[in-house]
Amino acid sequence: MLLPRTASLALLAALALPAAAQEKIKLKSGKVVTGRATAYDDDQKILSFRTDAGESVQWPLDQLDSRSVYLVYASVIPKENGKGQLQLANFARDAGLYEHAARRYGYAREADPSLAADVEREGAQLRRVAAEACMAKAREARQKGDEKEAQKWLTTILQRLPNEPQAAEAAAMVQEGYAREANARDDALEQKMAGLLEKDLKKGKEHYDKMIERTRDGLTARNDGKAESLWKQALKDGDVVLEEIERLAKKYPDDARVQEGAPKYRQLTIEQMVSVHLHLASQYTVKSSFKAAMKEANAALALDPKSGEALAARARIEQASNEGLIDW
Amino acid sequence: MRSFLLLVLVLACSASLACRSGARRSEVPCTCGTAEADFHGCAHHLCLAGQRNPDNPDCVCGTLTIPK
Repeated sequence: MLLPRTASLALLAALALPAAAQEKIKLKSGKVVTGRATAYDDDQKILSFRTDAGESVQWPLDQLDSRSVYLVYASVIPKENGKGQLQLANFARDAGLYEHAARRYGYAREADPSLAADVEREGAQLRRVAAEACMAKAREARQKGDEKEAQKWLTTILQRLPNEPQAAEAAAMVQEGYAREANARDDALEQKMAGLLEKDLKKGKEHYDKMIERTRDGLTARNDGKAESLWKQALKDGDVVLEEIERLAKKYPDDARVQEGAPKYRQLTIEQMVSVHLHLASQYTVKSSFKAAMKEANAALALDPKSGEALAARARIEQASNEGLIDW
Repeated sequence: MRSFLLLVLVLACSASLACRSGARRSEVPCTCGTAEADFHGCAHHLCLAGQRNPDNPDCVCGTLTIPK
């Protein structure tokens, strides 16, 4: 009896042990090294590392990729060290890790309330450089002809950084480019369905176009209530479009063109409705209305259970609901 | 022997629950290192838990273990 009990305890202990943790460090050259850190010399700024191959190496921090440098600093500066967290936040900001920077400014303020004015000043700089970076990405995408990507970055400015000077330009660019990009998605289908669009699909097409316009106008609205109302109307338009698609699919069961086009229109409509739900979720999250935000994320997932954006949004809302929103 | 069987049963049950929970959480990929994650943060379950995803060298959600 003793042996099985001992064996079972040994088994339990073995299962409880974490797997040997392997760390990955990235060098400035782009090379990734696997192993584990053995020491860090804060005076010399040197990280000692033992590689998987059993080699002991030492790297001055300036030989590491900036993300790995941030990781090293994050490992040695405790959350309770307000000034250290403020410096770390500045480093993250300058390395382009904007969300991490915002989080660290929060830690600094919490650890040392006397740093509030410094945090405010540096946080303003964070918002400024983040908005500049977003706008640069939008312009770069537009230059490459990727309007969808451009609109994504412009939307980020409008939703996350609405008080930065770039927001006005972003709104103008959304107003000008959003509908064009969204409409381009169904250009090929429109050509194929030209005859149907004139009669049977007319109502659905009208509501589809309205849904796009209202989504765009919600993004550029300077008032939360107006944006919310426009997006909710856009969702109602989307429901009408889906009903129309179903109606036509049933009306023309033997028309190959309709049967082929219906799933494509349905997919386009669902994609747009998912993005509208996520705009609403984002707005509610910023206002700390997490229950409403979660409802929108779940509605997006009900339409498209595999939407990576919706899954990520839901996880972020859960996080914000449990630990508070990261304030930019 | 009975306690051993009981242990195996408990472990099997907890493993099956863990897998189910993991499957749901693992639906969100680790996006650390992308411009999007730099702005919005990464929603991967390890990152949200403040841990580093060992599979992604660009992941900075968490810390290294550095002996003192």
